[in-house]
Amino acid sequence: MPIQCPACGATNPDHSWQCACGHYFVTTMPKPSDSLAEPAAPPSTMLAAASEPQTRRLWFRGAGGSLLEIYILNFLLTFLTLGVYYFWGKVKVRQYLYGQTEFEGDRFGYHGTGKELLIGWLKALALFGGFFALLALNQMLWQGKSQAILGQVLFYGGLLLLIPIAVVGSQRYRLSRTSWRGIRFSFRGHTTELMRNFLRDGLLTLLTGFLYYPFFQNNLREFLAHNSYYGSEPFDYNGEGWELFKMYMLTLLLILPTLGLYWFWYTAKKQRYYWAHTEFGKARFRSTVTGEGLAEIKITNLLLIIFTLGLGYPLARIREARFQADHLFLDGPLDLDRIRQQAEAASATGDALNDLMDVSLLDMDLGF
Amino acid sequence: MPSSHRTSWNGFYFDGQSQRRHQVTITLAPEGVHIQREDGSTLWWLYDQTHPPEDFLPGEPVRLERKDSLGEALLVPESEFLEALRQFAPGIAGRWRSPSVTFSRMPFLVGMAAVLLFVAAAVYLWGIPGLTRLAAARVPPEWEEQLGDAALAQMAPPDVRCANGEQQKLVSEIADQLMNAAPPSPYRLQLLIVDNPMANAFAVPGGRIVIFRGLLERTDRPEELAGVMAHEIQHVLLRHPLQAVLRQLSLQALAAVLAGDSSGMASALGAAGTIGGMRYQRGDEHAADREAVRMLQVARVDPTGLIEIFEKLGHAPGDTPSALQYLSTHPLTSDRVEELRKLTAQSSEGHVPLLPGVAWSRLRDLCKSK
Repeated sequence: MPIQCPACGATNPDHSWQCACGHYFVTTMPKPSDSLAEPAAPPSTMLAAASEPQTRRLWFRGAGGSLLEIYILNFLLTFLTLGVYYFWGKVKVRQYLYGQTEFEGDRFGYHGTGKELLIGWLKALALFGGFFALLALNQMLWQGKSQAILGQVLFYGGLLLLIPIAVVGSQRYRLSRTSWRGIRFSFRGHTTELMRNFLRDGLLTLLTGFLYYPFFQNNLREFLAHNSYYGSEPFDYNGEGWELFKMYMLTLLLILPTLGLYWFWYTAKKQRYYWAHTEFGKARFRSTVTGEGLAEIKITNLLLIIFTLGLGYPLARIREARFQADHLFLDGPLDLDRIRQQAEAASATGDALNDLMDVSLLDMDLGF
Repeated sequence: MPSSHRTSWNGFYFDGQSQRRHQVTITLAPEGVHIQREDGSTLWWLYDQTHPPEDFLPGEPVRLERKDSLGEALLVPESEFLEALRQFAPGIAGRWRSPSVTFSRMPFLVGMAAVLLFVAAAVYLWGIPGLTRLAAARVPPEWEEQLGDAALAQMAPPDVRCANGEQQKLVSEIADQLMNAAPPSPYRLQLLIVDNPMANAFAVPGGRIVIFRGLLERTDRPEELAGVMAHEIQHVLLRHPLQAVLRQLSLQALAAVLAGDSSGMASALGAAGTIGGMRYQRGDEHAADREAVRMLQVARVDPTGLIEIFEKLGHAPGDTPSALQYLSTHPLTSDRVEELRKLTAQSSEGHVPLLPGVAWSRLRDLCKSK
């Protein structure tokens, strides 16, 4: 395909770098909308036939040694910079973990920067600090019964509002900085919607003495899945609160007789249920995590970390990542061709808030 | 240009619009890369239009991303491509780190981590205690008093204190006698007795000393109480409580920095009001012992009371938990007992019994009757 030089007008038939007049040729692919029609399915044998139903899985390719090296370097630089390097170090770890996770022959990418995390942390500190300042103010200015009640209301109400901010912001940031084959994920949920859900569900949970909690979790899972996108295609979740409630009741019965060990089986059951009801397009996820498997990996990791005085932590993370990747499958047809890039910008606040408040108790596990 | 490196590579191109992998042939040239698709169409990327590839380990595919174009990238499965790329782009090669360098740095990294741990240990063992001692000396007594008052409001609020006037008066007499034996200090000493069966006593910054009823009940004569009081007064005069608070703060900050943990920083700041977790250093206990014995001698009070009460607290029959309380904050090691015996043996004469004419067993139980 000959190209005409924009500088001197000569045609360049042999795709050389430079025109005789000195102008460098740089062109980009025409956008798909410019082309005549959707290109026919590429003859590449590397691509799986997109519409054939089959089972796909994740691979985790990482090894403990490389991550340990990253951790040591982070440790050193964080100390030397009195903590400032912490955020850049975190980015390096995430880049490694994402970059070692492979799906259909391609690895995930993480595109966050240390600067974004630092700024997000500062914002989270301000929000968090503001919250506690309000509580302290309440303690100082008023005394007695009404002060105590106001304090409780402020605290729980504040948490119910802050946590949705953390969840939405964190998902938005993380997904928008994650890519696969160049296409970014995104999160399009609105904080106000989640706040309303939380206030309603939080109240119901309180009024029912925590019996409503599985429904609360189910609603959260639905909100998170519905609003997560890969490119232009959303995820979907259709689990029922009742099923989770039954699991929850069974757990309450069995947790004491098993001295708490049933927790692993409950978590595995819940994870399997979550994934079995999560879809992407026409494909459905499937988890094969078992209670025994979960107990084994968690307990061995804990022992590993303890007996190596913490040095084994990177290896524990690798083992955990590999365990999760080995037990997650995607069944069914996956029509990736029609997915388009639709990246959404996000600021980093929510992410740092998570760091400070450790919201993992809310089951925010989407696998990324 | 070295000819040892291949110029032609197979790889994949992502156009950033869809996730499709396009199989391409990549040719390296001095100015950039030439990309040829299967249908014959071509692109060129100049080197400075690309992001340097991220750290790659041997065996991993190499990814080259286009600047200012979301998702547009090249992927070459052979990791030798990176070396070839560096050869062709020597000008910007410095930005791209070769993976083989990564592994040779391991010994260096381990060495640096060891140095780091050594430095941290040194700071913990010498730096922090020394600096906090200096800092504590510069804190005005009024601030110390406020800090102490804040702690007291939490640990010994007025409603749990023994308010028996007679007991208070006589105990203050003992305190005055002891203080007269000490050099003048900026602290206004105040003794508080808390109505609690725990056998414990401690000093807070600023000169307030708290004695629990449980300890009082274990004494058989005033000299024993005087011994504990002298010991605690010396902690105050030597500014140990304040130093302990500062040490606690800086240790938490050090730990937070080392761990790179942001929530640690937040809790370090929050710990400013907490004195409950305070620990004295071992050297502090010895110093307080020595000065207490000296103070008792100058005040002409029999110092053996100090040893007696300490030993009683160590071998309490029956309700051991409360006895252990005192020892948990003031560990009574065998070398302390040794030293105390030596010190008290040196002084033999000149003692005047404390509070003659007062039935001690009645006095000490006055609080209970409240």
